[in-house]
Amino acid sequence: MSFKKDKHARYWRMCANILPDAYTSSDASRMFLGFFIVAAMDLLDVLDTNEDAEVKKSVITASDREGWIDWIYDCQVPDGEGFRGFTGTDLRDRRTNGNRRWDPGNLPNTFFALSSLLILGDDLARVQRDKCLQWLPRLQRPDGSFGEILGLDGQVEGGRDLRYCCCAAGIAYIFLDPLAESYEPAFDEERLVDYILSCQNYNGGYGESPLREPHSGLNYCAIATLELISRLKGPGSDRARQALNNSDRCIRWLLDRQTTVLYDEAQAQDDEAEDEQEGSFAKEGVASFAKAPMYYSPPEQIVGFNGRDNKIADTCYCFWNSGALAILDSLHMANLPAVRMYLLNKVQHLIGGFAKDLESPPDVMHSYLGLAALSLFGEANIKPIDPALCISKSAAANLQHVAWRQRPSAS
Amino acid sequence: MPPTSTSTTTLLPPEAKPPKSKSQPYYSVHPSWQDVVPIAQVDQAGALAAIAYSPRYSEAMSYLRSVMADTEVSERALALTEDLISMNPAHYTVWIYRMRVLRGMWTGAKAAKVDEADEKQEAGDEAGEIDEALWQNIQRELKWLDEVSFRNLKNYQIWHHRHALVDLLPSTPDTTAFTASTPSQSTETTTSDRHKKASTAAPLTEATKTRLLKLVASEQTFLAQILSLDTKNYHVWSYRQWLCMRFPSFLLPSYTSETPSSVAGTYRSHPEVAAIDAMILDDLRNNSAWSHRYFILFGHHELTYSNIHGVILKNVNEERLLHKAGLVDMPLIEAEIEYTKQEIRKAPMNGSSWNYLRGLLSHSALDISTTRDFCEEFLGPEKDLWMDQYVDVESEDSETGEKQTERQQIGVRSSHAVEWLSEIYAAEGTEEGRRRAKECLRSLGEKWDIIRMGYWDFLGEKMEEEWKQKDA
Repeated sequence: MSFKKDKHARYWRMCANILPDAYTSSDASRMFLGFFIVAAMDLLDVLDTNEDAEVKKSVITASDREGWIDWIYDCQVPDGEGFRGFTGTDLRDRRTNGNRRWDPGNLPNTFFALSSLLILGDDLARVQRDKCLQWLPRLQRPDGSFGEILGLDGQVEGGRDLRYCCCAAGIAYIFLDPLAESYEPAFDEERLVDYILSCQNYNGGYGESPLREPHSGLNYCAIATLELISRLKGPGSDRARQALNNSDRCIRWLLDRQTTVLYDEAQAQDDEAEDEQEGSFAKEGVASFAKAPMYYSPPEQIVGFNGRDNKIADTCYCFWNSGALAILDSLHMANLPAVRMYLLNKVQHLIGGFAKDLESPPDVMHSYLGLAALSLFGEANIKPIDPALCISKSAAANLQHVAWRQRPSAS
Repeated sequence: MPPTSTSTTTLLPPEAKPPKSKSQPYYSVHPSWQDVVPIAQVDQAGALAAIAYSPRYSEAMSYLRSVMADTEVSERALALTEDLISMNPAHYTVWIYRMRVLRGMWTGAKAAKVDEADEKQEAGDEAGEIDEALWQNIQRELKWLDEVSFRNLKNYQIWHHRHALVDLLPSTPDTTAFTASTPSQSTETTTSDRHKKASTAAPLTEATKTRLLKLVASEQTFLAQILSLDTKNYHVWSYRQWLCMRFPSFLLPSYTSETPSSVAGTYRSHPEVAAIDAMILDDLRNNSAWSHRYFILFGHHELTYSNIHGVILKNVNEERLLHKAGLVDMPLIEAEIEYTKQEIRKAPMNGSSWNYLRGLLSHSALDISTTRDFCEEFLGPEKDLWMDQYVDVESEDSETGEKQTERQQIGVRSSHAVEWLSEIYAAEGTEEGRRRAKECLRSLGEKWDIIRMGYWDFLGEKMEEEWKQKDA
C-alpha cells in the first residue's frame, strides 16, 4: 500500500471538527490532542490554502486558524504561569488568589500550546514570556527532575518523569536562544543532565526515573532533552556525549527495539477461545514470540518497533525510537524500508490515520506519530520533521519570527 | 447547562446516585445540590480539539468548578470528585482537590471554606506513632482506590494519589538513604557502608511497625492482583519500586540483615524475591519483572551509594565504585548468574534475561569473558557460526501422554550469544580472536539477525577501525 495522503488529510479534518466522546478521558490534555491535530495538518501541508484538488476538502480556513490561536491563548492562565491543558479548569470570574491553585498552568500542555502556536504561524506576542520563565524553574525538584503543576503551597506535583523534563527543555528552547551569547539557562541545567543520565539502565535505554525499566517514549524524552539544552552538539556537550558514547549502549538498545513480533499470541489465543469464528486478515504472516524462529530472511520482511524488551510492535514507537536515533545521527542503521512497510501495510487505516497495532482503530496520537515517523524516513508528500521538537522543520523555523526575537535587545 | 431554576424542575429523590446514562442530568435535579451555582465551560466557536462531551460529563465538570472555586470540603464534594474521576481520571487537579477534601474532613475542618494555611499537617507524630483515626481513613481511601485502579489500568494520576496517601504514614528509620529527591540530606552522611543506614527518623514503636508491615503486605497483595491483569504495566511497576524505597527494611531482601554478610543463602525466600520468581516462572519474557529483580537485589545499593556520596548513579557503575568499596555481595551475584543462565537455556532468544546477565556483570565488575563457555553452548557441537540444521525430536506430553514431534535447531540457537561472543573474541586480542569476532558480526547481519544488518555492519567497521589504530 502506498501513503494515502488524501485519506489522512480527511481523517484529520474530521478530528479537527470534533473528537468523539471517547476522548473525554483525555480531556485534561486537550491541548495535547490539539497539538496533534495542528501538527499533523502541518506535516500534510494542508494548514494553508492548498491547490491540490484531492485535499481541498481538508483544507482549513484562515478563520479556523484564528479560532484555534484564540482558544490556545484562552488557555493561558491569567497570572501568566503557563497554559492549562483544557478550558475545564477555568473558574472564570470566580477565580481568586485563594482558588487559583485548582486552575494552574500545566507544564507539558504549556509546551504543546507554544508548539501549536508556532506551527500556526503565530508570533507568540500574547504569551506572558517573562512570567512563564519565572514559573518554569519552580517546577524543578532538587534532584533535577520536573513536575507537572504547582500544587498547594507551591509544592511540585506530578510524578518524576522524563516527559516533564523534555517539555521543560522544550519551553526553554522556544523562549531562549541557546546559541545566543547572552544565553542564560532558565533552570538548573546541570542537575537536569545529572537526573537524565541517572535514568539510563544497565541495558542502555532510559527509564522514567533511576533504575526503572527502559521505555522508548521516555528514552526519546531523555535524548530530546539533552539535544534541546545543547548537550549533544555544541558547547557544554562533552559530558553527555561522552556518557552516551561510552558503549553506544543506547543506540544498540534503540535498534534492538525493531521487532517482527506484531501481535500478542497469548492474548490472541484468549480471544480465539472466546470466538473461534473470528479470523483476522491483518495477522496473516505475522510472527509471535513463541513461533518466531530464531532468524528471518525474506527481504520483504515487515518490521515494527516496540517500546520495551519483549513487547509487541506499536506505531508510536516507530517515532519514539526513530526520533531518538535521528537525534543521535544513527537512523541510517535502522531497517527503514521494512518499518515503512509496517506503517503503510499494517497500521495505516482505511479511513486514514494510523492505528496503534493490528487490532485497534486509529487515534490522534498514533496517527500523528505514524506520520512523524514516515517524515523522518523521508516519505514524499510529508514535510520534513525536526526530530527533537517533533514538529515540521518549517514550523520550527517560525521561531525566528517570534515577537521577542524581532525586538532589538535594548533592555 | 440548564439553569438551577428549581421551581420548574422535578427533583430526584435525595438517595439517588449518579446515573450510568451519559445523557441524564443529575446535579441540577438533585435536592442536595440546589444551592450550588455551576460554572459553565466556555469554549468559543471554533475551539481547538473540541470533544463531543456527554451531558453528564459537562454537568459534573460545571459543578466541580463551582465547589473548587469555594474549596468546599464536604461529603458531596468528595462524591463529586469520585464521579468525575470515573469519567476523566487524568484530570490533573481533581486528585489534588480530592486529597485536600479528604484531609480537611479527617481533621474535622468541615467548614465550607478551609483556611489555606493549615496544609502541612503531619500524619505520624514525632515519636513515629500512627493516629488511629488517620490509619482507618487511609485504609478506606486505599480500598476505594484499588477499585478505581482496576478500572483504569493505564492511568497515571491514580498512582500519584496512592503515593500521597502512603506518604502520610511515618517512614521507617532506614529510608533516608533512598530519598533520591533530596540529595542534600544524605550527602551529609559520611558512612559508606550499606549496612549502616542513616537514621534520622524516630524509631518506630512496635504497634506502628506492625501496622506498617500490615500495609506493606496488603499493598503486595494488591500489586499481585493488578499485575495479574496487566503483567507489564509501567505505572504499577514504578509504584512497586517506589514502595520498596519507602519501606526498604520490609521489601528489600538485603536490608533484612544487620550484619554485612551475604544474603545469598536466604534471599530466594524473601517475599518480594519470591513474588518476582513466580512472575518470571509464569512468563520468562516479562522484562518488567527482570528489571524489578535487578532493582531489589542490586540497583538499590547503587542508588544508596549515589545518594550518600553525591556521585551520579551512572558513574557508580561506570567507575565500578561499589566493587572498589567492597560493597558487592559476590555470593549473591554468583547465585544470580547461575539462575539467569538456567533461564537463558530455557529461552535462548530472550533478550530480557541476557540483558539482566549483563547487568549482573556490570554491577560486580566481572569481565564478559567469564561467560565465554556459557555463550559457546549456544553455537552447537562444532561451534560453527553458520550452522542452522533442524532435527525432529519426538516427545510425550507429560500431562496427556500424547506423542508429539518438535523441530529442534542444532547449531546456533541464540543471536545474543553470537553478539556476546563477538565482544569476547575481539577482546582476546589475537588474530584468531579478531577473525572469529568479525565472523560473528558477519553471521549476525547475514543470517541470525538480518533486521539489524545495518548495526552489525557498523560494528564490524568500527572494530576494524579500532584495530587499525591499535596496530599503527
